[in-house]
Amino acid sequence: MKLRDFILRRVLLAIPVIFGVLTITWFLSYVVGDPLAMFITERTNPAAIPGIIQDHGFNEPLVIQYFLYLRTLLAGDWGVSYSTGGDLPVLTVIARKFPATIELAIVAMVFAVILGVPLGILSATRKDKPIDHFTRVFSLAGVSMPIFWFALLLKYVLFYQFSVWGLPYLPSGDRVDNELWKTVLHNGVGYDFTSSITGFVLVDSLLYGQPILFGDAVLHLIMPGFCLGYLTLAIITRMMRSSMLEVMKEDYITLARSKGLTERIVIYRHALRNALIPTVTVIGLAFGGLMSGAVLTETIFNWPGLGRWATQAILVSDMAAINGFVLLVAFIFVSANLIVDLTYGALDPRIRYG
Amino acid sequence: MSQSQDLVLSIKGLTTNFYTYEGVVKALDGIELSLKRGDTMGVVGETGCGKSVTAKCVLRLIEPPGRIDGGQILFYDRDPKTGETQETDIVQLTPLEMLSIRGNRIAIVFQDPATYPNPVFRIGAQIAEVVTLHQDLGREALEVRIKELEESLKNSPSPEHQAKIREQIEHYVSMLENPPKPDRKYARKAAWAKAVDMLRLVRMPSPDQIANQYPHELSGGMRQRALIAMALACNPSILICDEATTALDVTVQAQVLNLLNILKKEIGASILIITHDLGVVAETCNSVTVMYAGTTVESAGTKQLFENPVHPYTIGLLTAIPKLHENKERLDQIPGTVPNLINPPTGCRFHPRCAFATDICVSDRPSLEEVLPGHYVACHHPQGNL
Amino acid sequence: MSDSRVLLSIENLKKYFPLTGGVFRKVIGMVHAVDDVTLDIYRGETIGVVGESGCGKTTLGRTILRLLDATAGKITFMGRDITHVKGSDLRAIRREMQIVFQDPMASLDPRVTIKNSVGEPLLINGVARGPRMRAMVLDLLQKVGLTEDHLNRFPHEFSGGQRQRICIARTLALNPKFVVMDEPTSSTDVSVQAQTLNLMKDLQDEFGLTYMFISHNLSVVKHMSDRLAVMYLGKIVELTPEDIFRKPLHPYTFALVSAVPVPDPRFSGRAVILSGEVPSPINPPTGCRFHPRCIFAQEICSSEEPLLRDMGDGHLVACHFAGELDFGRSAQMEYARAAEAEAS
Ligand SMILES: Nc1ncnc2c1ncn2[C@@H]1O[C@H](COP(=O)(O)OP(=O)(O)OP(=O)(O)O)[C@@H](O)[C@H]1O
Ligand SMILES: Nc1ncnc2c1ncn2[C@@H]1O[C@H](COP(=O)(O)OP(=O)(O)O)[C@@H](O)[C@H]1O
Ligand code: SF4
Ligand code: SF4
Ligand SMILES: [Mg+2]
Ligand SMILES: [Mg+2]
Repeated sequence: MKLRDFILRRVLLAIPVIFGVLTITWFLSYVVGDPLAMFITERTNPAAIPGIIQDHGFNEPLVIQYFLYLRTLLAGDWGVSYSTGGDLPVLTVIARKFPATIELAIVAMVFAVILGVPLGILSATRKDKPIDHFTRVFSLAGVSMPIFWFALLLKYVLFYQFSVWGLPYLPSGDRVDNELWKTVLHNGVGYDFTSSITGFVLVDSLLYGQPILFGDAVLHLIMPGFCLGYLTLAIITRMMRSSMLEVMKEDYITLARSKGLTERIVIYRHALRNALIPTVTVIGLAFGGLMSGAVLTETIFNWPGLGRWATQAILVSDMAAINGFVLLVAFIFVSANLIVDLTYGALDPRIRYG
Repeated sequence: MSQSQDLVLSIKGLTTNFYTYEGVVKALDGIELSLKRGDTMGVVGETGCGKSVTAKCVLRLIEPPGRIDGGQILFYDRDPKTGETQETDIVQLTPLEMLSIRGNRIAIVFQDPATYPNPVFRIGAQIAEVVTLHQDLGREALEVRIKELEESLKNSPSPEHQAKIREQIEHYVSMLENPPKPDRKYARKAAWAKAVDMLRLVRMPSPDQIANQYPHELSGGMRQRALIAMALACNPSILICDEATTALDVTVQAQVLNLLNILKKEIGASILIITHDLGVVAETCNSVTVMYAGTTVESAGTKQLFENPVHPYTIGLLTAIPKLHENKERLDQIPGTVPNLINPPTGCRFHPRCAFATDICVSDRPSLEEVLPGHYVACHHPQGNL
Repeated sequence: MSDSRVLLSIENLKKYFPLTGGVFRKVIGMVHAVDDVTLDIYRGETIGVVGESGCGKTTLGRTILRLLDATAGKITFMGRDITHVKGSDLRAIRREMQIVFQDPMASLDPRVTIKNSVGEPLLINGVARGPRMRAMVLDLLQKVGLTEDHLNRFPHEFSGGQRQRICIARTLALNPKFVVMDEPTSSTDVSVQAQTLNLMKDLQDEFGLTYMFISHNLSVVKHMSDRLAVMYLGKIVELTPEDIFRKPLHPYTFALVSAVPVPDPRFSGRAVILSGEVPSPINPPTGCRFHPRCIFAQEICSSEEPLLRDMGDGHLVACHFAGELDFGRSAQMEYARAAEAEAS
């Protein structure tokens, strides 16, 4: 099958998937959760309640409400997130907060791949040597440690203890040191959506031509980035190790050796590319997983991204926000999968799209 | 055995063990094998008798837990330019020294064309890889360059430009005698051209196109030919075919065997054909070595061995196979099964299955003796016409 | 079906596998795995089926056993049309018809003892259980040359040849009439192969079995069979009583026979080298499917499909020029020329 057909087919197949996810979360949140909770507190005047119900259409049958929601998705702004200051449309909030999350996810991913792939190779080619034992313990810790616990531990050591000991310490949270940005940029707001250019701090600081701000952004990214990426790093390392061990047993490796190639070339030219094929799947799936990991990491590091926003939305039953977030994550999962499959084709000529 | 002058490979007392959790697998126990220059020798025996391990030892491809524990593998390589013969004991070489022999002076074709080529690289690239590795390609790269210039000469419009190109061509032609190290781009092109030539040598239809294809796009027979092309790319002294036609269909096998028979005359390599199929031996080889459970049991010229087999195992093997031109109600069968090599039988390893076994067979290991001119056998009670 | 000697008969049997593609996975082609095969199998005989990989041998065997559903055609077993039987009728038929596969390890559950593996069909069909089952299993194992010690062992404790014996024992548990042997010795060694083949012949006599013996190894098939069917691209091109190898009449059979390496140096170098490879069964050639590789091909061969014709003594050949062709030395030269021409 041709590549175009394949992509078209996959996109068409994604529609029912996303639609299904959307329908299920919407009904779950309206049936299990209480959409009114957002608008009514102990201090609400009981007399105003019917008006509130009327205003937000809660008196309509569930199915009608569902179709109204679908309409906001197709033609509108995905509804209003009432938990955000200023009752902004969900789409606007996503546009403002998405760059922070995606930047963190990309940093975490880059860090997981750059460290994970070589560690996996090293571990496989030096099987049962000290480096292999170390890597295995390191990655086992990564998959078994809860993210929130690990994040708190990092914060305790790298921020609190280091500052107590008078060592240079990492910032405990936030995307930037806003005071620093205010002083350097003289704009009175520091870094927020009004002053950002692309939404990505690393890029913006460079666009401003301020290395000091870039350094500040990097410092702020280290802890949350590592924390978020550690699990993925561990998974990639383990996957890379096992697929490398698998590939090294393949006949074509024997053939490569029989040509008189050095072990280095056998590993890095002949084995690596084949071993990457299963690893790529894991990387793609993990990218979707980073989105859910972001919920915890962002909360702990006070990161102004979608994850923290979603957490708050859940706490106050902000239905439009919750549904919007789930929908976005579903989109990301589906696209990551498509990209994985396309990368497959680039790595493995045997894959015929079909 | 015979004079070492006309030998290209002589394996003496080769012993290889695998140190596994279950115990020591005594895979090879004193293998003897001599391959004459220009000869095609068959190595036959049942599964697990050590044919592949022997081949891997010759290329020093044995991996842990395996280890060569004794014996010699003498390789008499003849320099193609000076014609001088040099003796090397492969067992004693360092891994680094071995790299220049493997794939270059001794090459191998493996059994399964489905799993041996690397699936992610083009056929041409995989052949070119060996060429680049072992040949310096100085001259070939210059030739490619000259050819390209000659092409552009034809298309060049202005006379001054043409003169300039001619000058360049002359410059390169003068370097042909003593070519410098080639630059990468032209070396790559030269290696690719060589790969296409090799594909042509193995009678591949439209070799230019095939070089650009991936292994999975070719049929089993074509893949096996590509692997043969790869093995022959550096004009090796010895070509080892380890069950190279076993996975192929009969008609494709016939094509490949026919190709080997033709190439034998064209390339001047000595060939070791490892197989369990006595038919393949009869079709292609002029001498045979029979192995059983890690030992050499019999070795002779093909005609001699098939007409007058002497070792009881060889006799059993020859009568156990159904034959096309024969009608037999029942096949003669060798009782029992191949022994486990962790605890191989004492004395002659064949004795538990042998109809002629006596006490001495249980206690003493028979050595390989010349019973007729050029016919060697390891048996206390050889059969046949002596 | 009036002939009472016929145990099983197939008429115009076809098995196509659909090939899908495109955005909506439409069927874009058909693999013609078995294409219009007609064959009578007589009681007590061994019918051999040979041909190269992918020519449809396994598919034919499995379709006959109703392990695959036929695309078209009719299968009659003991006078009864079984092409479409279902449910308990199908199970009853299955007891009469069994299959032995190429890879014995793959068809034995590694975690089940030999006793239970071999006894499984007895249990499932409610024939016997408990001590009675054990006794029957032991009897079967002894028939295939194994002993009481083996009863409680697991498959990995046996050699390849012994495992194949176990599979054969299990096949025989329900006393079938018809057994398909699909490459039963392809994964065993020469000496073990001789043991297995002898055993199968003995069992055939003892149980009065009818075999369909499938293999790509001509010498083995020839040794085992009373009649032999040669398949090419889903079709039987030649069906002969025994001595096919002395007198092949179809050009493909001739090439196939000559290509078998003979373990006798006196006969070496006689192989006919066919040019090219077996074409794809998705778009098989028109007319005679062998015509692109046949040196005897005439115009009619590419347009008209040759049908199986009786050349006497039940020797059926599907070639327009059957009996008129000369497979002498000159034919071999002609093939060599064709192969060489194709290469350059
Ligand atoms: N389930 C299936 N789906 C699609 N095609 C199939 C399927 N099973 C078999 N085929 C195709 O049908 C043809 C005949 O296959 P079959 O397995 O019968 O061959 P065979 O003669 O038994 O070959 P071999 O000697 O390799 O066992 C082949 O082209 C094969 O690819
Ligand atoms: N990697 C290994 N580990 C343990 N035993 C091995 C290994 N490779 C081969 N052997 C053993 O060595 C013997 C010879 O094997 P091999 O040379 O592959 O046989 P064949 O003659 O079929 O090519 C067998 O008993 C086999 O089990
Ligand atoms: S040495 Fe003895 S046991 Fe071995 S093959 Fe000869 S006769 Fe048989
Ligand atoms: S019908 Fe024609 S093409 Fe087919 S086998 Fe006979 S002669 Fe050859
Ligand atoms: Mg082998
Ligand atoms: Mg099959």
